[in-house]
Amino acid sequence: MLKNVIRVAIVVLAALILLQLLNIFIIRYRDEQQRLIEEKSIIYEVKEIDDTPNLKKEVSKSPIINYELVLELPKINLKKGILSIDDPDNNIDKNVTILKGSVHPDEEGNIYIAAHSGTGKQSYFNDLVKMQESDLAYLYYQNNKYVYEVYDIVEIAKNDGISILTDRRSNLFLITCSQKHKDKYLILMLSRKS
Amino acid sequence: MKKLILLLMILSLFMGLKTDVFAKSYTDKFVVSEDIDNLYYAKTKNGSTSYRQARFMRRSSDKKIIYCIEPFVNLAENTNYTGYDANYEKLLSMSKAKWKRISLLAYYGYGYKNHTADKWYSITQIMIWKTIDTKADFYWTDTFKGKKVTKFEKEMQELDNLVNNHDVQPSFINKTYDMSITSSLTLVDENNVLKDYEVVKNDDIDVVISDNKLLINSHENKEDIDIKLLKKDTTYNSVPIVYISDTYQNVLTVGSYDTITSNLNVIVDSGEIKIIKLDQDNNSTVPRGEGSLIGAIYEVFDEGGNLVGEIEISEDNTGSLSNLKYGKYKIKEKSSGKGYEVDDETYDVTIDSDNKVVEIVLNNKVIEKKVKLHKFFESENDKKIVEKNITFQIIDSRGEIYQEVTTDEYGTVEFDLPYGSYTLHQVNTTDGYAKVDDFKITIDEKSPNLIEYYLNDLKVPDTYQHSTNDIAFDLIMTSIALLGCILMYVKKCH
Repeated sequence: MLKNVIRVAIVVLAALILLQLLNIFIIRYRDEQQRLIEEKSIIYEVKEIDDTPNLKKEVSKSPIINYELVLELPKINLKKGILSIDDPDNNIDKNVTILKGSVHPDEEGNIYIAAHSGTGKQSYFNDLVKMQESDLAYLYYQNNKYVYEVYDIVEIAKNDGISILTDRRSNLFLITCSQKHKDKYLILMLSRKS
Repeated sequence: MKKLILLLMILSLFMGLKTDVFAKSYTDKFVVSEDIDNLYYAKTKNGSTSYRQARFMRRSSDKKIIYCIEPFVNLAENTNYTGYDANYEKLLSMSKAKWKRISLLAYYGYGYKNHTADKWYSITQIMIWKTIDTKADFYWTDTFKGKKVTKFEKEMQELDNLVNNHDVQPSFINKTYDMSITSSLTLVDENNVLKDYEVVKNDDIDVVISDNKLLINSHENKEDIDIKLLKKDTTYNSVPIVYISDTYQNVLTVGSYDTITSNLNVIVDSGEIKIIKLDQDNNSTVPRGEGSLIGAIYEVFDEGGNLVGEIEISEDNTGSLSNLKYGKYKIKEKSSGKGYEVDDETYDVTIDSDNKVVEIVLNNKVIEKKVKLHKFFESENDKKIVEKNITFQIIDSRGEIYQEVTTDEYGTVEFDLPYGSYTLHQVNTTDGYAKVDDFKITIDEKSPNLIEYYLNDLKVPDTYQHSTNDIAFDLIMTSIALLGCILMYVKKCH
């Protein structure tokens, strides 16, 4: 009897291990596919398509994510598409998220972009802490490239609703969790250069 | 008692005699000298008339002219006379005034300036007689024992004027004048006698006579100065001498008159400009914000535009510049106290003898800027909603609440802040939103005229994520561990 139990346990555990390994491979494959789609969507959005006929064909065949705009942070080698505010997938657990209350880059007002930091797969802003004052950020929107420059970096205590103080009417805010103080947000404040 | 009185009388008599004894005495002889052509005198008194040929009388020793001071009494020629140079009134038994007139007639008569013609001797003599014996009539006749004629009216008037004006002093004497340091004062003598005077030198002040003007130039120091002017004879080197005879006529030789001293007082003073500094808004010495009225510096310019000094405002909110000469000045601020705007105005003041200390109240505007806060929050439905009735405390650098402000219906609040550093503290907030952290505002010279702050409230999701890959990894490791345990057990059993 015991031998049978042990045999079954060994089989189950072996199966579990195999399944998890498979899961990891599937997830990785899926992530890679998603990454490729995202990359092509970004290229499509920022109109960096060159004249290579094959690449054009490739782009036109592949599925495209309709990003509202694309955020590029050269300092930390980040280039991510951002969906429209009302898109169900505009969710911080899935993407770099644009928060409610944001305006478009061609409007006067503030743009709030948040993403996770940490160890998770969607921790797109994990390296945000490496950015400093005067570093640049780009927003691509409707065939235009908007350049922003960091002018201040603050940490604000986490709360349901936070209050950000600026001396400028229009700002780009990049928000993520502070890695030094888990109970605080790290907020980069940028103003538009051009 | 009677003995004592008698003794005192004897003593006073002795003193009187001693006075007579102390007057210097001279011994000399006199002669009747040359006739003055065509000039004849007559004297009528009590119905009796005497006649004389006008002629010179001289002292034998030096031929100096003498005057007869006993009309129509004979001179004892070549006979020793004893002369005296003091106490003339007593010697001649006449009043001081009469003696003075006689001696001045002699001085201003023959031999004075252009009075060199012979006629002046007889004019002088006849006027001396007229003075001595006012009850007699002295006059000229056309010939010896001739008819009375009128002569030398103009000359006599001239001589009379000279004598009468002898004691006239400059019109500006016996007064006090107020003048400034390093300045000039000109006094005009309306009596026109200044030319006969000389100034006694004074090291504290420069005084010069120019025609009928006294030119005074003060030095740099404040002084109370007495200026002396002297009218001194420079013609004769001795005083008049009266020669007395019991039997024959007394005579006199001309000499210097007593020096006349005239005084005036000059007060040399200076002025002062005093500035009292106030804050323009509260009109008091208490500065606003963290500003300071102390240390402001003003430049003072004279009428010529020359910088004469600076005034710095000290701890008591005043500053002054003293030792200024009378005149007009311009005052302009060079630098203000900390936190205050420089006053660009130029102020005119005048210092004179009636206003020696000029006080002027000047004020400065504190550096003040507008601050505007915009308070709003981003709502869920994408609309920006203003936050009204949000109150902020404005706390100064001393930790005291300077002011409380509250946002209006538009979510804004605007207020003025004077120079200084402040902390803004949010007092209340909308439910569900945290208050903004305290933040600092500094108002100084470099601050823009309008300082705006935007306080953006919004909802932010949690942005920390744990990796799902970790979970799978943990499961794998746990499974391997469990499998390992089972295999070991099986091996052990076998």
